[in-house]
Amino acid sequence: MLKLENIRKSFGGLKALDGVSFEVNPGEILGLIGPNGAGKTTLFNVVSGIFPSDSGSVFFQRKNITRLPTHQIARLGIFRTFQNPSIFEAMSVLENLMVGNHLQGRAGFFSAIFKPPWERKEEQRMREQAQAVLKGIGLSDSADAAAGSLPFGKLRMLELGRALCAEPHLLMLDEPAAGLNQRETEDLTNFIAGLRAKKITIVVIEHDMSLVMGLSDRVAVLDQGRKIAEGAPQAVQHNPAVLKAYLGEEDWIKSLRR
Amino acid sequence: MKRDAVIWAALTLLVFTLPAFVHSPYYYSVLIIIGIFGIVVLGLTMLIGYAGQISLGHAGFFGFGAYFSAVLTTRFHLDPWLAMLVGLVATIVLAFLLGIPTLKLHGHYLAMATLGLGMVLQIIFKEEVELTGGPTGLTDVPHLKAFGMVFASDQKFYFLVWIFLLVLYGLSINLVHSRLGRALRAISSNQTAAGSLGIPVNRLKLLIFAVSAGYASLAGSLYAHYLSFVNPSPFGFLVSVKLVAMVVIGGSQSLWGALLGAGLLTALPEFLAVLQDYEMLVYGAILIVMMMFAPQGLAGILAGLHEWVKNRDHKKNAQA
Repeated sequence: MLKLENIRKSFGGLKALDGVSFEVNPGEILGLIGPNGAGKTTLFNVVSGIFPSDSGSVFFQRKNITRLPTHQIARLGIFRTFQNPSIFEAMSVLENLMVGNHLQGRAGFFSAIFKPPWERKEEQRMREQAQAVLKGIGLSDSADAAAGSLPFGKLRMLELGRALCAEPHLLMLDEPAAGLNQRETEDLTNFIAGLRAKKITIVVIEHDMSLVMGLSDRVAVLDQGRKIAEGAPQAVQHNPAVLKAYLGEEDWIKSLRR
Repeated sequence: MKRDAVIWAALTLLVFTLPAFVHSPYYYSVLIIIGIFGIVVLGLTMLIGYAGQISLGHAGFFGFGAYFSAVLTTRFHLDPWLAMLVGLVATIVLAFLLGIPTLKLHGHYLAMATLGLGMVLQIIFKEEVELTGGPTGLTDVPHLKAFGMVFASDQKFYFLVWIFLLVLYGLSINLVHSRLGRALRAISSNQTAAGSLGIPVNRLKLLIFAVSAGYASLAGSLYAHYLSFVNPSPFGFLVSVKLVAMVVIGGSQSLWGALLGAGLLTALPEFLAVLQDYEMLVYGAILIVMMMFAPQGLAGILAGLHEWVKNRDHKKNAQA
């Protein structure tokens, strides 16, 4: 479904991605792990068109999307969340979700200002769609609250819900459990597992090993801009190269062996 | 949406009842100028408050519309309405030409580009004497006519301007509460996230910039026909700053707030003649104070007061 070929990306002298290739299969959940600074987020930014890669190619459903601008990549069905929830703080929770389903509507400038009946119907449909997602993420009570006033855990859910409103084919989650407590993490894990039934392909960056190992069909490991391992969660956990990459971070080794 | 619709209805009521109490042509002239600046500020608010871009050259677009109307009607004897339309289209084209290269860049390049454009336009108004009449300007701009009525008296023109404003205000309310309005607010909050959801960030910024320039152009045309005379002085940099001040003081996140700002900054200098020499100084000071203590502007202060009164009543009821 998604295929990366030899992606390179440098920031000044720093090689953030140094020739990374891998594939994501339709319908799977791929865990992307690696020590801090391994290039995981950069990889997401390259795929979603936020930073174009220096060289290499990205294919999505056989289409070369390497040089496409961000909004056109979204149009193909690739959506993501960010490490720091990038919600629209001044807008209400429901409005945030309705920005999520922007691509489900087609009203342009003139239909926006003159509001013909079909535009009203479309607005109604988008609102209902957003409300359904709102219910799914358990935020119905906060529909009209300013999004910026939500506690952190709910911001994460809101951002995830916003991406779901877009009806993604491929969903990229950048550390969705960071900053969440034990219970919130469990809820989130169950929620993501539930997305599998909707046939959404997911790539998830996460440091919470129980989440990654529990959810992922396959795991890819990045270290210093290179892919050092890829395979079933169990196999990756015992891969010597992976253990070496994490050496010195004792908690990590413990969590990997758990 | 509901609250905006209520405010729109209230303003409409006010516009049509006010003439029962206002009789002096002087007050009408102040109300007309408020209406004209109100139209410019409506567009500018959508640009500043909803798309997060700043223009320091809107007086230039305002003047562009005014001069198109004046030149086409006096030198080429075009129908005033047609001239207004030509000016509108020309201004929008100009906005696109300026916006396409600058809005691609991150940061406040639009502010710089519009600052430059405003200055260039004013030089053109001054120097193209053959066409614009130079520093002395053009006189005898004809009155607007419609349905057998000539908009010559202050009272008639008052209705014309405010009907224009009400219509544009209504359309703007629709726009900010639409799919595109949400997209614009998303852009001003977080461009990267907006783009990642499929919003064509640059195209929408360009659109709203062109729309805001179009509003300014229409207001300019009305201005030329109202005074029946144009010269370069009301279209300079300081007026552009004043327009931005109206938006910020009124509350850039709210259309009615911006109208309030336009009213306040137009009426204050009229009634406080002392201010005239220090006008810019006072605006500067107000701007700084607003930025520091009330970034949501007057609209924010009023909304806060409303919230406070509601809470207080709530508490009283709870205690009783």
